[in-house]
Amino acid sequence: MARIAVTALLALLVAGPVSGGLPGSSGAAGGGAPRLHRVIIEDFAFRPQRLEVRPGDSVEWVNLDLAPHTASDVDGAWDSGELARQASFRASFGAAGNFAYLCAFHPMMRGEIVVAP
Amino acid sequence: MPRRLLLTTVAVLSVAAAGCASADEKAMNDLEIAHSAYTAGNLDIRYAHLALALSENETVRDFAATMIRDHSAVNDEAVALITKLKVTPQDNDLSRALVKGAGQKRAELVALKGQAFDCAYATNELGYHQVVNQTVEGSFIPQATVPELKDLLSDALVTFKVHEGHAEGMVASLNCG
Repeated sequence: MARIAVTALLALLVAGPVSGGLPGSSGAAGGGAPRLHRVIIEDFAFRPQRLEVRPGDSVEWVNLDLAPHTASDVDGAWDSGELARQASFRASFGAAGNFAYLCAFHPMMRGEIVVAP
Repeated sequence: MPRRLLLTTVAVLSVAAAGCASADEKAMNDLEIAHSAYTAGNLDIRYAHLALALSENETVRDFAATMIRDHSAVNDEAVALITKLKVTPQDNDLSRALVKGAGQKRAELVALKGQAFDCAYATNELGYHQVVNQTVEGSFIPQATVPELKDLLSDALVTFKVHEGHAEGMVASLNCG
């Protein structure tokens, strides 16, 4: 878990362009430069619930719900903190592995980042 | 005791909701709907603060913290909307019934301790969300005419329905009997 490099960038949705990944994208990148993928938090669910990325890629969580949420690694390696509506959080993943996460406020909301070489 | 408390709550809210739903000849206007929705959220926040003050049960305390966080977020959006629209919500019979009923309920809850309080709070939260959700879905959303208000109520209902499910799980986990 410590191998995960967390950029912990809390920013508004408009903070920057998404290079590569589209909202809801779930497939691993096809090689080359690191990509930014996006997970939408909506209707008390992470979409996609399971996201495959490649080592070096980043993931951005964007909360579209009225209720605040978090994206929190179940082992505590990274945590978005409270994400109000339209707020976002980014983390980069440096090594292969499966990383389960949840919303600390609504623990029934669970997701998984699969980092595959 | 918890069952009696639940029945009291449901009775108060049902009367309020029925008053809203049956008043087809006099539907609530947007400003009244906004006032009642905001009031209902605020009252649940007050219940939650009471729970944080009186309960030592982790499940109950987590639920209460969630209610404060989520309902505050919804009400903040409501304030932002009325500020944008430059309108003032209107007090009304439903809001007054909600406030009166919640005052009576808080008086009952504050006299309880331990498991009795936890069960009473949990069952009240379940009943409160069930009836409020029925009112929001069956009356407020259909009657609202301002698109932004209708959208806000619809978004809020998603949150409130999750709360109802959460409350149901809390009641079951407390083994209130």
